[in-house]
This record gives sequence, structure tokens and C-alpha cells, in this order.
Amino acid sequence: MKVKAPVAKPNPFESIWSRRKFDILGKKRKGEERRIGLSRSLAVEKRKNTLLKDYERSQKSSNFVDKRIGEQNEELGEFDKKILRSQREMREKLGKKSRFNLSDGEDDEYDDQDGGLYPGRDDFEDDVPFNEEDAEEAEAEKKSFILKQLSASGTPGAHSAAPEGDENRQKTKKEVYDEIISKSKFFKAEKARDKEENDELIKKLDEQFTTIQSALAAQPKQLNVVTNATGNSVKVVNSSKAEADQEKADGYDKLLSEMVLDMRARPSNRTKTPEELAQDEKERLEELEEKLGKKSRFNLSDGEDDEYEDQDGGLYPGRDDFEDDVPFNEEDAEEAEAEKKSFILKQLSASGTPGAHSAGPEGDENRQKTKKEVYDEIISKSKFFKAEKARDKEENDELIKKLDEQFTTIQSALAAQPKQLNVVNKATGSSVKVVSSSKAEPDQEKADGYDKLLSEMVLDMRARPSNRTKTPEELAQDEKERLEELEVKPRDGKKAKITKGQEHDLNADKKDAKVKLTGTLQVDLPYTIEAPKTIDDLTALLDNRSDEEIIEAIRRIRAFNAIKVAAENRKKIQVFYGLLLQYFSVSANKKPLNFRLLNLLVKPLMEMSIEIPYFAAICARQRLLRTRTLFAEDIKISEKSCWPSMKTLFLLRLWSMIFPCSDFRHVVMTPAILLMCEYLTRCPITSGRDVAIGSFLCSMVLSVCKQSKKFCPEALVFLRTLLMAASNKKPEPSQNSELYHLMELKSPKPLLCIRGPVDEIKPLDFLMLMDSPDDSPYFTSDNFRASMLVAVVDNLQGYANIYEDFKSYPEIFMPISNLLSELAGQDHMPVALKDKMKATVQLIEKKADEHHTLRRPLQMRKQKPVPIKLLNPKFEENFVSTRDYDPDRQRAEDRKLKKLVKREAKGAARELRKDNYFLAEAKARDKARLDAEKAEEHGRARAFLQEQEHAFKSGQLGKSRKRRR
Amino acid sequence: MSKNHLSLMTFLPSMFADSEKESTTRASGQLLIRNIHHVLSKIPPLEQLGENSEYEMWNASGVFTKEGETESKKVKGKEAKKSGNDVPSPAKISKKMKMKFSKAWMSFLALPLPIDVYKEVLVTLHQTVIPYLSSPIMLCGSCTCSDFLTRSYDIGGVISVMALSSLFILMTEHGLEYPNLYVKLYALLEPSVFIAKHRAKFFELLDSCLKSPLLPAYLAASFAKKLSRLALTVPPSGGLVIVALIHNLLRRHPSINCLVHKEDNIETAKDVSSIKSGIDQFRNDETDLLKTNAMRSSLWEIDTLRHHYCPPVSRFVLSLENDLTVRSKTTEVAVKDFSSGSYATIFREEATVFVFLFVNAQIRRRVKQVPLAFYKAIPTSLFSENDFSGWTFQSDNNNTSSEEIDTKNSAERRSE
Repeated sequence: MKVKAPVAKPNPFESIWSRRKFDILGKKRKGEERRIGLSRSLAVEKRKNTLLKDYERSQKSSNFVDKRIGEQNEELGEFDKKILRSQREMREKLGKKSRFNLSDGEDDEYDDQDGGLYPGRDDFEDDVPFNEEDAEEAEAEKKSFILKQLSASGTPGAHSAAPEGDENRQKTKKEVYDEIISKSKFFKAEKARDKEENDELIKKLDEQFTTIQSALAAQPKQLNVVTNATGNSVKVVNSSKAEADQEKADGYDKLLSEMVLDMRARPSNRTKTPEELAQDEKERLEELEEKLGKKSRFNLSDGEDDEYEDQDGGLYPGRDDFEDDVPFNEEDAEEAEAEKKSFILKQLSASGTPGAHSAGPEGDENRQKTKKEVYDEIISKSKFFKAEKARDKEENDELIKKLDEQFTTIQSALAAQPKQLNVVNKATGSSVKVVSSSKAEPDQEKADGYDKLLSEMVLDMRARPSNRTKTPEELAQDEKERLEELEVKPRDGKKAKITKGQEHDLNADKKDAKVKLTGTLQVDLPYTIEAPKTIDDLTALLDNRSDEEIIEAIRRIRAFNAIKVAAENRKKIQVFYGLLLQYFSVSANKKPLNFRLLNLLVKPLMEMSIEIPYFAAICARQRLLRTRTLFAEDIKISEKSCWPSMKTLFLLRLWSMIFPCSDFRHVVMTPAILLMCEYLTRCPITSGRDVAIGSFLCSMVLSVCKQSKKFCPEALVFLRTLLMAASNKKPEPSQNSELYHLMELKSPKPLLCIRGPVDEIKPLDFLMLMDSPDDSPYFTSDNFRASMLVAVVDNLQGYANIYEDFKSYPEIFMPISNLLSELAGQDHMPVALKDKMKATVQLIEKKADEHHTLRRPLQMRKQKPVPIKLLNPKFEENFVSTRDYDPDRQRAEDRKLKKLVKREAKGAARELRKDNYFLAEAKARDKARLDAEKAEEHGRARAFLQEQEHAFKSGQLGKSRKRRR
Repeated sequence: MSKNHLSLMTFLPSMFADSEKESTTRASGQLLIRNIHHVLSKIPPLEQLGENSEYEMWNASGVFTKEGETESKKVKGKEAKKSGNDVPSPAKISKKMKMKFSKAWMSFLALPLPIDVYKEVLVTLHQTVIPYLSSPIMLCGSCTCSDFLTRSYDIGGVISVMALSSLFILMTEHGLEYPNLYVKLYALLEPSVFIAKHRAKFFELLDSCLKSPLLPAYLAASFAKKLSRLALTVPPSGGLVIVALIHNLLRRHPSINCLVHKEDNIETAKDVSSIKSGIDQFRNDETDLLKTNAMRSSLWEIDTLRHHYCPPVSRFVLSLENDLTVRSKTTEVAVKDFSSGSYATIFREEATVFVFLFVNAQIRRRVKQVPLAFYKAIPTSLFSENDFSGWTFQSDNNNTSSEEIDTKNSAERRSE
């Protein structure tokens, strides 16, 4: 099937398909994108392959089928076909296993290499310097041996070279060199890659260094004496580092040394997180408490009072003093005292505190040593100081740890490299050693036990300013101590209390001691207060204290048990919150009401609610539920007043301050407002006090509804009822009976009707009203009535203002304004009140009038307006002529399909037509051929006959034959 | 026990006659009435009695002998004969008993009942009495008894509400005609209904009374408008019921949907002439349904309910925004779900939702946020007088100090 003809003689129609001579702008050129000539000849070729074949075969009864491998596969090249065929052949040959088959020797192998995997080999052969041949013969030999080994292990570069190396031992050294060169190239590449990785790691390290540096640079640089241990270890690390990266040595070195110095700097000015602030506050309190305890223990309270109080302000008030106080001077003077204290400590540890547990035996051990007890004492005293620093240390520790890690990663990366790089290797190796040894140190020392640690720590204490930077072992110790500290802490307070109690009354039982304790607390509030667990604890703590002291106590409790300090404090604070809320409600119900205290309690309660919103919500919910159930029970007893108590009112107000009133639905506020409205609807009004509470509730509802403008019909109905109670006329049954029914107003007597002249109108004192009993004469006085009406009208005005947008404003407020204007006309109505009423009436009427003019009938079923069909022409940006811009997708799709069908049909018809032409052509050709043959035959026969005739006529029959002969 | 009842039953009519004639003192009469009511209400339902043949046999002789005495002699002779030779058929006995039962109740209801008994009777009438009466329609229109139910329905207020359920049964099941029903029903729509004890039943009945789509549009519109007007004064539970009722009304009567949706285009022409188009044409106090002018009004009150403080109410109002004229796409609201609502139910709903959520807070299925109010500076006092005009909060205990603080606080507030 190799039709070479078109290849040999290219059709000019195929190569030239455009007759364009000049580019003419804007001229539409048709048919240029298609190569008509080419496609036509391709079509002809295709027909020749298919149609013509069929045609030819149609007259034949059999045909030839080519079944050679790959003959039908168009994708295979000629070469591949041959390979496949030869493979097949080989396989068949092997499969037969004929013993008579002789092997072809090395033919196979060399055949394979014809492909030229190493075409550049020849070049190498030329390049190889022959003079080196002699000098490095031995080495080359060795290398080749190595290479062989390597290649055996399967490195990819040596893959093809390996078999040759084995077999061609006898061959020239050139080839060996080839291999060596390729090998070394491979290694070089490998090395380069490793180096790159190293560089990257180092760069990363550098970056982290700079960040650390900048962090440290922010701190004030305070020069401290470096402890030996730290200095050593850091130096070792430093030197190893320097060796590792010699090229960068100076810069890196500098950075590192700087950092070592920086580590010493105290990170005191770092901006603190809220957690840390909480922690600081707590520690401050602890410290103060500690001093308080010490004071009482040493009976030094007389002189130092002022000093301690001064320390309230500072963030680190105790530190300097403490350093002065570090009891080295005590060591001499108060050795006996210290002994006693250490004994106490021992007792404590013996009593089972886990933190002090391990310290106990140490104490025993140290007994024999000189002054060890004193050190013990010192340790216990410095614990607070340490705890304070522990955080900073931890961070330092982390930084160092990170650095260490990065060192080790680099080292391991370096160590992973083949050890041909001597210099680097050496450096890394040594650094690894150093670091590992330095790492081994802490483990060793940890194993050594407490004695050593303790002595170290004692040393540490002496070299106080230097312990900002610590060796890992020290840090570990610190960490441990801090934990111990945390465990011991709760007991510290107890201890202090107990000792105090013992001092005061040794023989008294526990309860008495407690009472005494509170007695002593009266004098001085403890600085660290555990969050109380029960209401008794709280009342014991807060009873008989001034308001400021109570608030201060709450503040201290919150600071000491701050949630941010420890997660488990959340529970404590939650309990405390519940208790505080209870305390709040209890003190709201107390008869001589301490309103100022309640006001002061608001702030801590709100702040705590912010900390524990879920719990606050739960508390509020539970209280609301309980209040409602109690109310539901109360209302069944008709004689009992079921209006909310002072406590409920205050709590409702508190919640409406804590939680947002504007939420559509809120877990607390929605039930709260429901409850308030229920009070307004269901409680019967029997006395002046009820009126007062009710109208106060209305104003609370107003304050709740104000922001979101919620509609609260109950409050309005209640106010309206109050207004009706103020009118002196009997209400006409037809008009207002419905409201009376709704309110179940049980007292027909007009509670608020002003009978006589009014002396003065002043704002009602809510607290006083709540305190006074039901039958107080004030409630029946006209002064009260007038003041109450003022409050009611004010309230109504507020509602009238916030509801001004409601569509049914006139329907809501017009009856009220009618009532008001009626009331304004009554006798004995004070002028101020009258004016107020009139103003409100005017306000309402003005707004109602606005509504009357502007209001439209409801249109709740607003549908989306259907757009009018636009007929003006639309202009399309970037118009594409072929695209269908029909907005109806379906129609566009249909049209597209139709077009396609039409085109296909046309194409098919054209194809058929062309097939026909082709076939006709082929037939014509055949026919022409046959005709030509026939004509030729005919001509030949005719010529023969003519010759015969000619011969016959001429009478020379057989003459020519004769002549030929 | 039951024998006693039955004997009492037979005696009752005569006793009532006596008591009426004698006109004894009120107290003793009331006591008597109470006792009678107690006895009557304890009579077991007759149908059960009829099924129990043995029981009946035991009773039969006594009943009939006693009855024989009071009844006419003709009957007596017959009965005596029958009782003499054979026990009468159970059907007959039960019929007789039914007669007795009805008679006893009729005469009892004719008495001037004290108000609590009256209410109790009304409550239980439709369940325990009416099904067992021989001809229930008698309760309304029989010549012997005064039309107890219609009378009580006409009283108005709570009594009417309670009478409505019995009346409704009579109308629907026994063919009673009561043309004034809707006028009376309309008159019952007062705020008090929404806190009455039997409101659940009332609302359900109201809904079923207004069920017919054949009711005239003006009537439906009046009810809808009246209900919506009431929504301005009732508690949230009532608001829910009102919205449900109006929803159903709007769905049943497409012609009154102009109450909630009126196209503006016709109105614009009118606006020029009549300036105050926003005045509500509805006459709230009108008792005649024809004259309420409800069709010319609009349910603005419903729009106000959208701002209701109670989330269920303001949510539910949105259901009226669906186009209720398309019946296929909407369904009626079951008034039953809302009719028995009260503060307690709404409160519980809110509470349970929350408790449920919090119980599952650990599972974190639908943990709700607890938002907190935001303040620039946390307020230090519980009540500020800006919020509570007309009130002061100064405790007498420590006047000087607290006043100082208050003034200081207020000064600070002002400065802020």
C-alpha cells in the first residue's frame, strides 16, 4: 500500500490554497480557512482506499487479507512493526526449545545498542587525555571497581554501563574512564543538590534568627552575669555552629553572640496578653497575701503597713522589696525562726500535699548539711518570685529548644551526605558530638536527683540577677517547681488561715475558728480569696463589711480565680457567679435596702457575664422559670398580691442590662419580657402600691422595647386602665367594658382619681414606694395620684414616640388620647399635669393625623413586578455574528440543531454525489481501458487481415515468409 | 346507688314543682339545686345501662311500679300487665328511661340556677346530657322548657361562650335554626374572650362557624377586621389565635383579600379628591354586621403585629403574606394548635427550646449563641433616670452618700 506517487510529485493545489496577492482591509475573504485543494485530494485518496476497493472487489469472488502483525495498526511506524515481528519470531523460536538451535552469540546485545543510548561516547574517546592514563592507572582501576560495586547496587546513572564493565574488562581504558566521568558527574549533581538543601535550611534558620532577634531587641538590654553552665553550653553550641557554616561564620557568629546576650535581657516590657495580666494580678494578690501572712507571723505589722499599701499600685511592686528581703540577712538573725518554719513546711509535706511530697525527704537529707534548712526556707519563700518568672523562662526555654531542633535538623541533613566532603563532614560531625554531649547533660543531671538540683537552685538564688537565662536543666527544674507551686497554692491560703486561727484560739473548734477568722478578716481583707463554694461562705465573707470592701473582695476573688489563668477556674467562677447573683437578689429583698451596694454589684456581675455568657444565660433562665412558676402559684390565691417583688424587678432590670434587648429572639430577654407582660396582664390592681409597681413595670418594658420598637400591647392596655382609673366618671359600659373585662380590674373604685388640690408633683421615689406597706396613707393621697399620673403620661409619651411608625398607630393611640383629653378637663387636675396631658394628646393627634393622610391600604401580597417587554434595539458589546442572541435558550438550541441537521444532510448528499462521480469516473476509466484494449485488438486483427488481403491481392502469397527465412 | 338515682329522677319533676310553688328562702333553694345537680350529674349514661340487661331487670320492676303511679292510668294498666307476666324488652326500657332522663333535666334547667352551677351545667351539657336526651331540640324550643341555651347564649360574655358549644351541636346535628348566630358571635369578640377559661373551645367553634365559604364577604370581612382590631389589646397567645383565624378566613373567602392587599392604581385617582385616605372606615362599635364598613378598611393591625415583642407572633404574621387566594398552594391553619395557648405555653415553649438546646450543648447539635449587650462603658447603676421618667431612685438609708454618687454618676454620664 505504498503509494509513492503523490509524495514524489506534489500536487500544487495542495500546497497552495490561497490566491491572495494583497491584503485588502475590510475585504471578506471566503474559503481561505479551508484548504480546498488538499481536502479534495484527500477525499479522492480516501475514496481510492475505500470505495474504489469495494468497487474492484465487487466483481471478484475472493480477496487477499493481510494478516501480518501491525499491518492494520495505523499508529505503528515501520520500525516498530519490524520490531514486533522480530519479537514474535524470537518468542516462537524460544518456545520450541530446539536443541539444535544454535545461539547467535553476542548479536542480540549489540543489536539493542544500535538505538544509540550513548551517542556522545565517541566524543569522549577523543577527549580522554592519554597522558594521565599512566599516572592514574591504579586509581582508575580502583575506581572502576568501586563503580562496579555501585552499579551493582543499582544507581540509575550506572545502569547501562554496568554490564559492559563486567564483560569488557579486557577492553581499552577509555571506556573505563567514560564510566568514571559519568559517575563523577552524577556525584557532583548529587552534591549540588545536597548543598542546595543545606542552604535552604540555613536560610530558614537565619530567618528565624532574625525574628527572634527582633523580638529580643525590643527588650531593654540589661547586662547580667552569665552563669557558668549556661555560658558554656551556649558557647559550645556557638562554636560548633561557627564551624558548620564557615563561609557565613562572622555574620552568623555575631548574631548568635548577640542573641546570647539578649537572652540575658529581661523581657519585662513585653506587651502582655490578657491571660498574663490576669496571672500577674493573681500573683500580686498572692504576694500581698504572703506578706500579710508573714507580717502576722513575725509580728512586724506595726511598721510596714504603709509600705504594703503603697505597693498596691505597681505591677511588680514586690520584686525590689523582695530582693532586699531575700532572707540572707534573716539567715543570721532569725535562724531559729527559719528552723521553725522549715519544720512547718515539713509537717505540711508530711500531711500529704503532693507538691511538697518530694521536698520532704530532701529536707531530711539537708538536715545534716550546714544551713540547708535555711536554704529550704529561702526556696519556699522565693517560690512566688519564681512562679512569676516561670512564664518568661518558659518562653526562653521554648526559643532555645526551637534553636536546638533546628541545629539537629541541619546536622542530620549534613550527616546524611556521603562522607566524601571532608571539611563539611568534619564540622558537622564535631558539632553533632558537642550538641549530643550537651544534650546528654540534662539527662544525666536529671538522673542525679534532687540533691544536686537543690544545690544548683540554691546557687541560682545567690546569683539572682543572672537567672534570666537558664540551662535546660534549670528550666526543667523551674517548670517542675512551678507545677508544685500550683499544687501547693490552694493549701497556702488554708495554711495561713489555720495558723492564724491557731494563734487566736487554739482550743476552739473549727466553727469557732471560722467565726474568729471572719472576725479577724473584718480588720483586714485577705488578698487571696478562694472563690466561695456556698452562699454561706459568701455571706460570711461579705457580712458586716462596707460596700467598698465588698466590691474589693469581689474584685480580688475574680482576680485570684481568673478564668484566663487556669481553665479549672471557670467552674469556680461559675459557682461564684451564681452565688453573687443570689447575693444580689437577697440583698435586693432586704428590708433596709442598700441600693448603693446593688448599684455597685452591677458592674462585676456584668463583667462576669461577659466572661461566662452561657452560664449567665442559664442562671437567668432558671431564675425566670422559677419566678414564673411561683407567680403562677401565687395568682391562684386571690388575696395574695402577686405583683413582682423588689428582687424580681431588680433582676429583670439587671438582665435587661446584661443581655441585648434588641434581639429578635433572645434566650433570656424573650422570656423576661413575656414575664413582665404577663405580670401586667394578669395581676389584679387592688391598691396604690400595685399601681406603682405596674406603672414601673410599664416603664421597664418601654426601656426594653425602645431600641427595637417592639409592640407590647399589654403595657399599653395597662396604662390605659390606669388612666381610666383616674377618671371620676363612671365609665360607660358600652365603650370601655371590654378593657375592664380584659384587665379583670377587681377594684371598681377609681384609684387614681384626684379628689382635692395637689400640693406638689415630684418624681416618685421608687424605692420608697416599694418599701411602704400596702395600706400606707401616701398611696391614697392626691400627691401620689398626681405624681403617678405624671409618670403614666410620661410613659405613654414614650410609647407614642417609639410606636410612631406602626401602621395602626391611630387605632392604638386614639382611644388613649381621648381618655387623656377627658382627664385633662377634670376638676382638681394640677396645671402641670394638665399641660403634660395636653402635650401628649397633641403629639398623638399630630402623628395620628399624619398616618391618616399618608396611610395606604395594606399591600402584603406584593409580587415581583413583571417587566414590560422592551422593543427598542439592544446593542450587544463584542457582537459575534455566529452566536445566537435569542434570549429563549430552548429556541436557540432548536435552531442550532436544525442547522446542524441541514448541514449534515447537505454534506451527506454532497458526499454521495461525489462518490457517484468518483465511481462513474472509475467505471469510465475501466470502460475506456477496455475500449482501448478492444480497439487495439481490433486494429491488430484488422492489420493482420489487411496484410493478408494485401498479400493475396498482390499475389505474393508466402513471399514474405520466404523472404524472412 | 343507681337505683337511688333513678328513683330520684322520677321524683324530680314533682319536687321542682313543689319548690317553685313554695318559693322557699333563697339559701335553701340553692342548696337544693346544688344537690339536684350533683345527683343528676352522677347519673351514668343511659346507653351503658341499656346494654346491661341483668342490671336493668333488677331495676325494671321498681322503675315501672313507681312510674305507674305518676303516669296515666291507661299506661299503668298496660305496664302492670306486662310486668306481671313478662319483663319488658330492653329497648323499650331504655326509651322510657331516656324520657325520664330528659324530663328530669328539662325541669332542672328551668330552675333559677346559681351562677357556678349554671356554668358547670353549660360546660358539661354538650357532652353528658345532650347525646342522651330523647329530643335534644327541646332544650331550645320546646314549649314546656324555656329555651335554655338560647337564653344563656343571649346573656353575653362568658356564659355565651360556654353555651356556644352546646348550641353548635344542636345546630349541626339536630337541625336547630338560629338566625342570630353570627351577630351574637360577633358580639362575643371582646378582649375578655382571650383570657377566658374556655377560650380554646370557643375559638375552635368560631373557626368552624366561619368555615362555610358561602358566607357573605361583608360578614367575613367584619370578623377579620374585628379580630385584627382585638389583636392590639390581647396577649401574645391571643395574637396567635387571631392570626390563625384571619389566615383561615382569608383563605376561605378570596373576596376579602382586599383587606390585606389592595392595589394602588385605583386608589391614586381617588386620592386627589379625598385627602385622608388613611382613616379607618371600620366602625368598631357597630353591632350590625352589615354596617361595619369592614370591606373598605384594611388590616393595618396585622402589619403592626409584625413588630410584636413575642417572636412566635411576629413570625406567624408572615404566613399571611402568602397569596391565600390560590387555594391549591395553601392550607388552612389548624386553630386547635393555637386556641389553647396562654402565657404559660408560650413561656414553656421558649424555655424548652432553650433547655433542649443547652442539654445538647455538649453534642453541639444546634448550639445557640448567647449574645450580650455591648457597652462602651459598663453602666454602674441599675436604673438611670433617663430611662425612667417620673421616677427617682434614692434610697433613704444612706441619703447623703448615695446622692453624691448619683449626682456624680449623672454628671459623668452627661460629660460622656
